[in-house]
Amino acid sequence: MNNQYAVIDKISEGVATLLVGQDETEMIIGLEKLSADVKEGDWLEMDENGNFIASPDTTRKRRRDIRSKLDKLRKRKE
Amino acid sequence: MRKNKTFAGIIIVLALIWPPLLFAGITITAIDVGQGDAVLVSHESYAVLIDGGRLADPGADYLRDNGISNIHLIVATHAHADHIGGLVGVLNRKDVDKVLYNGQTHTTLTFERFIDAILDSDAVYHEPKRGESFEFGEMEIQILHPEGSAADYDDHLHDKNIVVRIIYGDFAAVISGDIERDGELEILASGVDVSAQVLELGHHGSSTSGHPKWIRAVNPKFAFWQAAEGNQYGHPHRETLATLNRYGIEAKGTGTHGTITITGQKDGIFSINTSRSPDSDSLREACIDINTAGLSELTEIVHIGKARAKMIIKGRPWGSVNELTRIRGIGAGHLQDIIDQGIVCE
Repeated sequence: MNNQYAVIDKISEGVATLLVGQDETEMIIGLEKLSADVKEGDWLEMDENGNFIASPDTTRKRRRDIRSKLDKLRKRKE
Repeated sequence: MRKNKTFAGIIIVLALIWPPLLFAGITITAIDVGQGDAVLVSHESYAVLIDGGRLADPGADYLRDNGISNIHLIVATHAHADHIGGLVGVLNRKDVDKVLYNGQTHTTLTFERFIDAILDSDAVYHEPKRGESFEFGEMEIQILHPEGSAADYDDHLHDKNIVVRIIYGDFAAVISGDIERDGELEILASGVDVSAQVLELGHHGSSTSGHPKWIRAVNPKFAFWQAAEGNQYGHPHRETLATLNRYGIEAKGTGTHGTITITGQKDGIFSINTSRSPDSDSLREACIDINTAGLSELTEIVHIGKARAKMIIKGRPWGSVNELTRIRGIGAGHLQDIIDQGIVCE
């Protein structure tokens, strides 16, 4: 029931480097196994057949939350 | 007299605790962190860490084993985990004065932990731009790339990777992180001085980096790459090593040589030490020898299919690559393509 989540850390040289689960275990897969429009930073959910499906809501939330932390850093006095 | 002896004693004790004091100059250490980058730059009591590898411990352990408790500057070249993962441990375990990062947002947990670790530290945070420089004693760290903050950039993370040039007297080194060929050419187009005796090859020696124009402009005497032996990406790539071979540049990598330490002097002279000594010549292995290569290896050469590969094997020995024009269909144009591809040993 609890599907596995992964995030695309890197896309380069025809492969995607995924970080899987809470400990972000590295998994390298061919780009042909992902939809053509995926980007670095996209979050994916693994379905019961082992396919990775894009999870745009998770990606948006993660991007917003982390951008906010970076903004906080930028406001720190140098 | 007694004061002098006491002073000398203090210096010896300090030198044992802090090895760089044993010699003058600057040390650039490519720490063997497996598949990832971590470069420690030391001068006098100053320590600058450029990336920290992927795993939490190897980088921080190296610093501990070398008695380094204070990092004056961390440069996180970009947000990929194999560059920033290990910086989390460093930020948690060491005193860090300042962190340079390009500002681009990434969504991995590793990246979030890196940002959290900076927020939890007392380190100053700064997004540098091309032309800025940071001085530590007689050492200077110049920013070659990117042109400014990448806070609003959302394309590939390598594009805005921070590239630095380290200067100490007449000695210089360029540390590339994962900059790719377009980035290298952008730096050259900006007109900044990139010349250096030592070059860290971009993107672990991948063929996505190491444009011949870039290599020629930096004009290093020594180049190194950081990658795990037998890594799944095939780093370093044959094309990049062949380019170095063509220009007669000595090269070593952490995968084959372990931790690599370069000691530079003000007059530009430098020496190289490695923690391992591989048996074979990695640069020679990197190119295809038309006198010894097998059929499938020969077909990696441009314009060489199976039929021509068989002709190359049948026509051995070859005196030089230029003799390949003896093969039917290989004229001056094809020969130039083969030479330009750069993977055939000369």
